[in-house]
Amino acid sequence: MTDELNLEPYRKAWKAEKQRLESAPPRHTEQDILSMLSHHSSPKEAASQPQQPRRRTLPLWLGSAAASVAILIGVSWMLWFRPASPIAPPTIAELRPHTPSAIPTTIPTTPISLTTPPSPHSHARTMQLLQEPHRSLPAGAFDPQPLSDDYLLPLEDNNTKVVPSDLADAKTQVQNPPSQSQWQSFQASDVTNSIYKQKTPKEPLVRTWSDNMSFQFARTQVGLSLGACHSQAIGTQALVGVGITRDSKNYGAICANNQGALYLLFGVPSLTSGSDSLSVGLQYGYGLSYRPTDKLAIRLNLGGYLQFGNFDLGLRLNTEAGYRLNEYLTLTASYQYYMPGIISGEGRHTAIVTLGYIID
Amino acid sequence: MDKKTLVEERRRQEQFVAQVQQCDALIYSVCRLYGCRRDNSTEDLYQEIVCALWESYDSYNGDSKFSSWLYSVARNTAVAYYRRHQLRQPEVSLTDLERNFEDWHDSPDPLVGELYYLIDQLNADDRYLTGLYIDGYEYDEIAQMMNLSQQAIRTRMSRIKARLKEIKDRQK
Repeated sequence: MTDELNLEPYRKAWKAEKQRLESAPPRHTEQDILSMLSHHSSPKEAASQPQQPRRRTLPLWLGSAAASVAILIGVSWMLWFRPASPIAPPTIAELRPHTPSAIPTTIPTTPISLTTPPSPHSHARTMQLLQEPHRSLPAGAFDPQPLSDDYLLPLEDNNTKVVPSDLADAKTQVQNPPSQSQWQSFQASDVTNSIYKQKTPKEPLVRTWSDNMSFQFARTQVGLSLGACHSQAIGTQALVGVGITRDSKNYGAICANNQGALYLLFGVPSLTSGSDSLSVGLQYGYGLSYRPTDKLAIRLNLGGYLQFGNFDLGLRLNTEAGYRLNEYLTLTASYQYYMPGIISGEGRHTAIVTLGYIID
Repeated sequence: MDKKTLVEERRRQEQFVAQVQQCDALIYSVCRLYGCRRDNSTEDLYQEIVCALWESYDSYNGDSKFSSWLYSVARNTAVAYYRRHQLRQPEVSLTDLERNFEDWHDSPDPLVGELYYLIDQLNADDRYLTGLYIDGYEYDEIAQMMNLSQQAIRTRMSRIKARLKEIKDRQK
């Protein structure tokens, strides 16, 4: 017994049915057909007029306007609430030695040779500066302070702890000052790493909530995404969108495609598409992340999607690669395959490039 | 628009209406095979097809038979219509469906009714493919029309046949 339905009898039956229908008397009178056309322009008029889309989608300008407003809100929010730059020079108050932040967080750009004794000229100049009342340092500025673990607290942020062995290394370094080349090496790598470590939360190997790449590099990020989506039913759509993520949760995204459809998405890695009407969707995923370096992260994710406009439900496979361009910007490229949904029964391919701005 | 153009336009419209009326049943067959579901959408789709035909009437140059041109425009309109209205509907058993058949199905052949029921269970793409197959097209023609390889069409058709078998077995 075969597992496939033999369609040949249906083919023959349909052929006979078609012949029967073709020879059957018409059901509509000429008047009926004319009344159907009464609200319709003639082919000549239609050809002379610009084609109006017949799909019940939002106009493109509305989608673009919504995306622009979202970008403006995001940028304003960044400008108002962005914290001070972590590499800004420390203030005098921050340099007070009796506070735990006594150690400057910046390294002088000119290498300092610790082995060269200070020249008499510079010593005299220092004494002169100290005698000037308006330049005098606060009382106790040069009081000897014991070197304790407290000194290292300001660097301890977001899972970056300085362990006692590091402290021992630091003490060793003071006793055996590094050469000029060692200092330069320190400037080039360690300072950069410390900044990234301060701003990068520790990433568990398996995440069970959101699947956005942004928090690989930051707690909060605003992303501007451009992409394309393709399926047999919808063809190829161009997409644009903005989204906000914070603490590994996607706070939502607003997207538009080139056919004027608008998408509001929550729990989504920035962007998706596929419906031809106003759509609201939900997506969740589980996956593996791997960050070989501070600047590069790779992620593989398996999740589900739920789309309310033209209701559909299905699974998706998502892979991303993110690169941290500098202190504030990240670039993420992702490819997503939506497996055939329960209703649509077809697969979708989506490729997206996202430029992210790190807020904190 | 001057009087001469108006008269010419009127004459074209009358010609169009007469031609469409002659193919009235053919449009119904397209509606049923490619676009309609178990609802009262036949009339809506019929009207949409008539409007689509009128919109593109200028593109008909008389090289082929009017009915062939009409069939192709009607089929595309019906597939697009089905895609737009592809909503999940409650399962209706074949027996229940047969009881209400007279409303929208008057074929003396029970196989045709069964065919309507079966293709109604498919999504837009699968229905389009199955419709073309039932309509008598061969795999190479379908592949050309759907812009896919012949192998892809064979694979999909095989999957569809298996699915239809499953649906039919469930109804027994």
